[in-house]
Amino acid sequence: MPRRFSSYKLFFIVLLLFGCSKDLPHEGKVIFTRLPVESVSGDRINSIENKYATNMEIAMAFMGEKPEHTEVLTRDFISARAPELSFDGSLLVFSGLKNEEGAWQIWTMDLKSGEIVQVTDSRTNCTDPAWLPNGDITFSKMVTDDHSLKYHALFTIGVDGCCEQRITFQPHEDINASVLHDGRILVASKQVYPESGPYKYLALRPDGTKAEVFHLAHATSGMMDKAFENNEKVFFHEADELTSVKFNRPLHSRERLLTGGQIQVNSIRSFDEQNLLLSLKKPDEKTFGLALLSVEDFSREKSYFSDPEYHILEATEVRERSVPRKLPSRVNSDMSSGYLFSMNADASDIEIEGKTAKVRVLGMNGIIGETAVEEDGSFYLELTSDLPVRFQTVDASGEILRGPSSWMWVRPDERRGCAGCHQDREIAPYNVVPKALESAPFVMIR
Amino acid sequence: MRKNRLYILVIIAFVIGVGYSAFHKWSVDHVLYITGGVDHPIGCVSCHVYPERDGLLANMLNEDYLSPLNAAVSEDGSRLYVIAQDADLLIEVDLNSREVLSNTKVGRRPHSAILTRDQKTAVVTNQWANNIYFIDLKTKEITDSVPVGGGPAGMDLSVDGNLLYVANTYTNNISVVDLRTKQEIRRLHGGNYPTSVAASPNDDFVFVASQRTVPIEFRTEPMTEVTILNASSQRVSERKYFNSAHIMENVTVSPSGDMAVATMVRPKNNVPSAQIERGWMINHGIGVILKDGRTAQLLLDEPNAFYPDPYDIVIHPDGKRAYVSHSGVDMVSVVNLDRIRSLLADASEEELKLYANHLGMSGEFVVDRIKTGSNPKGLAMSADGKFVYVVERMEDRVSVIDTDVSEIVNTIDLGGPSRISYTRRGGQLFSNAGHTFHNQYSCYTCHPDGHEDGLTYDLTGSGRNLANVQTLRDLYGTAPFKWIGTNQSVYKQCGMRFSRFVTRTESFSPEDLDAVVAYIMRELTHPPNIHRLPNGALTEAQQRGKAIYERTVTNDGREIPEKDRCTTCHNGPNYSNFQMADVGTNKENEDESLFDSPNLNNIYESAPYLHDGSAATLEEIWTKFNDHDTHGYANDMTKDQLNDLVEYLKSLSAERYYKKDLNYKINKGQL
Repeated sequence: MPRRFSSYKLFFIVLLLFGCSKDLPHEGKVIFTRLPVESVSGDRINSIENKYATNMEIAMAFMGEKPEHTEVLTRDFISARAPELSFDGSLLVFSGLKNEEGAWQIWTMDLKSGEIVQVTDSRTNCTDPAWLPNGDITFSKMVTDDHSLKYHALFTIGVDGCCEQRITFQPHEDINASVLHDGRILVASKQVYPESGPYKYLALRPDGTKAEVFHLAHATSGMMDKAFENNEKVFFHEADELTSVKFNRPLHSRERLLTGGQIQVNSIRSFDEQNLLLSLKKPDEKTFGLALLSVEDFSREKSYFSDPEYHILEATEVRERSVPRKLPSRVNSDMSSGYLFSMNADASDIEIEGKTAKVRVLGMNGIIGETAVEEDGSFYLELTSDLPVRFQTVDASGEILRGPSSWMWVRPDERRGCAGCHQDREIAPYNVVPKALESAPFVMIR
Repeated sequence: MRKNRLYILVIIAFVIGVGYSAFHKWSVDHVLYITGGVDHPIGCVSCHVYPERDGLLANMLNEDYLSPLNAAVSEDGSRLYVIAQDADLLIEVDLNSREVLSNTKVGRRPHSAILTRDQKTAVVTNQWANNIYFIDLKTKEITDSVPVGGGPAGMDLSVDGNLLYVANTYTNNISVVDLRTKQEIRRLHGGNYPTSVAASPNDDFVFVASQRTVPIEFRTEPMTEVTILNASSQRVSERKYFNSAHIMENVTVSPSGDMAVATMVRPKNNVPSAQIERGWMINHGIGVILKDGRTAQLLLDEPNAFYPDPYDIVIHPDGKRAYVSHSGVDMVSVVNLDRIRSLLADASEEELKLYANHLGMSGEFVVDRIKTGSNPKGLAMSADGKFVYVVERMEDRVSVIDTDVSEIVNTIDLGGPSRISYTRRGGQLFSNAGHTFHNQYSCYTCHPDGHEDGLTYDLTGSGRNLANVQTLRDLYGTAPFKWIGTNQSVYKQCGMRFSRFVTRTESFSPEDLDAVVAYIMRELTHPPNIHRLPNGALTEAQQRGKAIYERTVTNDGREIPEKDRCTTCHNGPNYSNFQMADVGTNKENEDESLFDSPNLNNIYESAPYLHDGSAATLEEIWTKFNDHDTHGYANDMTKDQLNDLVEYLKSLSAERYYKKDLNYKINKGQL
């Protein structure tokens, strides 16, 4: 009798174990975008236009397999690309074009059932989705502003298509978002009005608050692809070169890897803690293929996958990943303004003679207003939320001292502080009470 | 008959069903109330078992941990003497076999140990017993006990080994003890909460670092004192103030005596907390006093990574490297002192000001970061400089760093319980900054030793509705929490809103929240009240003050309305009725609010006072902020009466602290 009981117990334990084990479909395979070699030349592959090229497919294969074993996942699409796997490895999100007349939308695919669900329902193109830690999706969408300028802004949306909201509001091309382990979104951003400077990476919270420069691109680099974090570093390609910065100090730790112009790098994805999955073109190859490289030694290629008929891009391995931090939001959507203060408008890297007397706020249509700064250089403003603004500091005679600054915005009820104007981004504020905050903010609502 | 039985069974089932349903509804409502409606799968045990200080279940679930804090290594490198703070022990470790050789019972809440020059005696400071013990290292017997000031903590020997300097944390002074006579020969005023001492090897100066800011004007920078004593005269020669710095837990002097270096925290309490990114709330680093008298502050943080709660610092005998333990991020930083020397050599005052806030500077001189176990506290450097011993408080363990390779090469188990209890897990979380954006600070950073840091923060980021940090000691049974009393429980206090306004990252998981709350409620207690006579009796002044506290008539014989008497709001064992009150302290630019009557046990430790910290002293509550007798009827009092009242207030302390069980153990839940 006791033995029989033990057998039952064993049976149930085994049943329980099987019940608990997680069945991750296609684990270990690599999902990627493939682009017919004849549709675009290698040197133009990394451009905004090619985000919406036709004949792209999302496909899946094992790294060691022959290309003919590749399984195409998006046969019903005219074109599809930018696959990103959910953190549990079960759900794929991608951008795709289903009919010629329509726009590119964001879609999800259940890897187990193969079920495809449309997430966005947009009249303009949506692209480059990335999973947020709370299960929502961030993506870029083409917007047209009051000046008929067209560019991509960053949005978030629930996986069920609910609650789409725009989270960047500057006249910038904001594309190729990824998510850092600290829960912030890292997005490649380039000012389009007035057209200025190279791309930079901005880090911001998923509610669109606290956007700040994470890394400034090399002046000659073109568009910056998604950046990926691995082993306390952030990897990306800049001017076709594999580049990294330290997460802890991204503004001053740029390191060029795989240099020399021999190898052309396209997209970079984190494979695991020790390895990166790179889409690259070797000098003797016609197409971009996938290489698994160790972050410790980039000269050692662990495996390689290519297809002479296709460029292989934007690869991601099917596996579970750790979920980044879920950042709380302080945005209050019932409000239509936010707050911005500066500790000292004269604290700046740009040394200029003269003392700031006023700060001027500029919008897309010119001056929104100006206000005097306090004697300690501080000012405190209430601004219309979700509206791009820039700042100029002027002296008592009305001469412009600094600015205009880069574009920025405040979200509803967001509070933002600046240590100074054009202040070194590595300087923490001095521990003083800004005089401007001893009274109510100067209201500068458009 | 059968039918009757059936009816009875049906009725019983119905009653049970209805009863269960009612209980379930009540319990859900109760939990919703306790958590403030925050979605939290809280169970009965979360509140009714884990935080309990006594009882069968509480004792079964919890363990008595050692909680080592500091250590001293013998000159020959064969022995390590570790202070186990929660167990009141001095633990002797054989460094060759890495085994514990002996446990010697010392006084209450020991803090530090040091070996005399002949290596025959260990001196231990007993922080809650206000004395130092001399322990014969051969017999392990306590040979002498010398009373010093209140809360003795860090100490150091004079170069000749004849004098011992002891930092008395609770009485803000420094005892000089003649080791030949075992007599305290001087007591010198030293900073606010002095905690550590370092004598220069050149026998010229002795440096004493403090935890808390000296009293400052409302909304100005904190200023923390490093007291410099003349080693020849044993007199204070200078008081150096580190602006915008505090919690200078430990100080050391380089072997050549060219610099004294102390750990420190740089709070941004005056800066509106609009954001946490880029070090807008709290930074961490070291304070340096150079031979030429200049001071400098350098951050050990990086722009996107913070190294909070630097606790101890030791310098390699070659004088080129310093090791700093970061108890909030389980790390030891290795600092290249030569680079600091050259950085500071020609630095202008402007540059020094910049360095103190520059998050990128650490890249110039931090050469390594070594991961340790949970909550690294005291460090001990072997005389030959080969090893640094790291006391891991929340692991009951010591890690051994090989300085040649900058790696942990061994660990030493001190013999604490192997099981990590819920409360212990809470302690680990409390002292770790992993739950703050970029590890910027831990709970400990603003609540050192479970208390408060003496600062007022602008957490709303609006320049108004400031919050004076409150102590976390003895919170059990003192709800509601927060100055405006909007938090019914610590669960709510540390829950979702806390992550939105304070930690600015993902909130605690329900399990972690339970553990943190259990730790706060169960483990954090006030030290014995130093203003109270050991037998609980009151001094004459305190007795006079008590009469004023309890008075019902004014000096001219009129009856004081009940609402204006001290005892109306401040009564019971915690001297609070835990009700909201308007005491007229709302400032013009603040949201109008009532305030929760704070409990007054050990209130003398919690300056500044009032919700926004605007009263620097207890006196100021009535001399500056009570024009209309809204905070108790007080304007008829004479200066002497006010002095007496304040003396009495300082003595307030729950009976449990001074009656009968003076030798209670911290973890036994006898509090």
